[in-house]
Amino acid sequence: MAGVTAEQLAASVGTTTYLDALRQAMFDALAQWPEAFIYGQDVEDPFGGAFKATKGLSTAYPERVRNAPICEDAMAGLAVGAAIYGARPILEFQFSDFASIAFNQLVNHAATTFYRTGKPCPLVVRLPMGGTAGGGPFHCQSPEAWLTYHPGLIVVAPSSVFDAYHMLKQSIACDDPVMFCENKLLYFHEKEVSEAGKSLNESTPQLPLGKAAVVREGDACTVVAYSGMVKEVMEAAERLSTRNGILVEVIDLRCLKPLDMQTIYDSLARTGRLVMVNEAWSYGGVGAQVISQVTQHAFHLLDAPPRRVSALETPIPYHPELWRSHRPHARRIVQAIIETVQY
Amino acid sequence: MTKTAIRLPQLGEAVAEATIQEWLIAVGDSIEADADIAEVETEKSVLAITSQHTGVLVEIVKEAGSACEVGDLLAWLEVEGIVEETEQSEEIDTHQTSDPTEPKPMRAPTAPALAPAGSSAGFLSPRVRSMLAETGLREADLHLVRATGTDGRVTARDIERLQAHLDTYIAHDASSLRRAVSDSMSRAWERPLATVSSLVQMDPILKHRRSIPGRPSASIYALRALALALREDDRLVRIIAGDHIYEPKHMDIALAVDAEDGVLNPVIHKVDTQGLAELDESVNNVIEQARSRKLSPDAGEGGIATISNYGSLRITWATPVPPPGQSCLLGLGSVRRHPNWNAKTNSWDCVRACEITMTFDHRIADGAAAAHLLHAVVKYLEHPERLD
Repeated sequence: MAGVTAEQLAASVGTTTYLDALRQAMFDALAQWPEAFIYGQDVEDPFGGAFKATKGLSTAYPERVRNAPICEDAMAGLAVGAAIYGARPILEFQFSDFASIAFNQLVNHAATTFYRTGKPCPLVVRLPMGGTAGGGPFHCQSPEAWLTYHPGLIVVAPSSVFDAYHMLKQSIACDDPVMFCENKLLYFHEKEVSEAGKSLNESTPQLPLGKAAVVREGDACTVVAYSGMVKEVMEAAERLSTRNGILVEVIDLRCLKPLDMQTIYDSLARTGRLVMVNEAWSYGGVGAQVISQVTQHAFHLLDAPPRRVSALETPIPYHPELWRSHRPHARRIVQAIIETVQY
Repeated sequence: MTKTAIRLPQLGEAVAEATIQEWLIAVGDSIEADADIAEVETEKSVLAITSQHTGVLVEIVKEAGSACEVGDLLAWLEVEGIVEETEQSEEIDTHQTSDPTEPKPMRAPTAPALAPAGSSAGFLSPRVRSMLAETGLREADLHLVRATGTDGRVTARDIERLQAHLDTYIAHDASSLRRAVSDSMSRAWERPLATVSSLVQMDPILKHRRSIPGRPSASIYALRALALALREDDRLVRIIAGDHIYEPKHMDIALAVDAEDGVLNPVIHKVDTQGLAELDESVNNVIEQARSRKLSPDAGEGGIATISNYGSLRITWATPVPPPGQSCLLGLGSVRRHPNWNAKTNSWDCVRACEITMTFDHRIADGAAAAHLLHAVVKYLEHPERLD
């Protein structure tokens, strides 16, 4: 065991990042399920993956962490086959943008296997998505919408360190194919200081995979977000509370398919107003789905037209300044909330 | 070269439409920015509209004589370069909002003062509607609360505040008649009402009624006097709606009758064709029916005016409100003794007289028409033999 020891991994007490939590979850999963294995480009040590999510894991489990060719189609095909035969493959794509190359395997095969054959297909695809400054059109996209479109796929998008850990483990335990959307900005910027002497793997998950969470309570407006946007919305909510005295309720969707609409309806019963924020483009997206459900089933609760904050309708710009104004940011979210609250 | 639209601009706060009087240039002519391009006539004046761009008039959409509304496309101008609103992008508003990816409903850039199609004034959100249904409050009750939403829209919070305010009172169930009167008065008050008044000498009627079977009350005389006066001049009982004025065909006049917890206005049909004795009988019938709550539901429909004898409540002067759908109400004050200068004897006589008031919808008639009608009524009442 070179580099990181199992003890170091298992006892990551202190400050834990979102990325640490993912690594920890995979480490614990490999220990818990002998049928689990990790497959991805350059995931083996010493490189340990594009974002170092698998650093140390191949050293601890040399046979079960394997490098893949640079071909997401072939990787996904192998994983579907292995899953049908009883394995629990954990695929790592370097960037979710390249899930398009594996599109056929994911939506035609993984999504339909159980429907067609009665055989479960318990695979997890880890998709690093969302923007980073300078990443440009091929390394910053958020393609969750086209994955949620297909019946048979579960799509999750954790926003916290705690959820990154537990939801990845729950996804690996799940017998359906799970598209596990990670956020690249959260990898290093989302941190949590664990309780003294307690590591993540000693905590228990608070919610099942398919439930949304109210992460901030308020009565003026419900703001629904997921993944990296929860951080932006929480910042906007704090600003509105201290500067404008507007208390918004923030819901972290956590799971994009199936959607936990009941938590949103319950919140709307308190607030009557809805702002939907996602980092992806708006057209046909998760926000469109949430709002269509709300207008159909909770019309009587609405006191203002639901509003959306999304990426602008262009490919993602390379220039850091352009990128910053292209993605939804706290200032734009604050404005949308104020307009909705004042309606 | 791009084509840009010329639209009818907002010409004044209250102007919603205008008629094109004349195009000042012909198709094919060029025009400078800010030069007059057409003259339009509004309700009050003739105004010039100017071209925002330098260009060539390529098509006139609204010819001279056409009526158009604010924001309507009047003509196409061909201009150099790219302008904000072109033929291709006509439906997209380029104003930036919090989410620039969502196209906004079309709004003519020349008409910023006009409430856009999405204006929320008077709009009740689904939540507000369901709260009304839940609390049993009605739309008419919303005047009780200060609206805090955009453009004066009532929000869900406003309803909560209203409910909290009402909870500081003791609640009882309102009778259905009281609720109907409340609704009807709210609607009636949406019009500009004005009142004129005059003194009527009542001695002639008080003497005359002794000769009529049933000894009809002053209300019967007033009913017939109003019907005959209206037959000569019906300007105060017309209705204005849309582009038309509607003249009544029959002198059907309602009589305000006090009932338990409200007022009913049963209608007496073709009052001008009934003599005083006949009228007295018709009126006694409906009053009896009204007080015993046996009036048919449509008994209050179709009247063109109402008589209110508030004098029976010992009130000398009042301005009752004409019910919705009617433009005029004649009120009778209580009969009192008044000094009256007698020119023959050069002294004051004591006469019995009452004030009568006429409250009318000022949109349909002016003060002079009301005065004319009231004088005609006074004349009939002071010469009751003409009502026989």
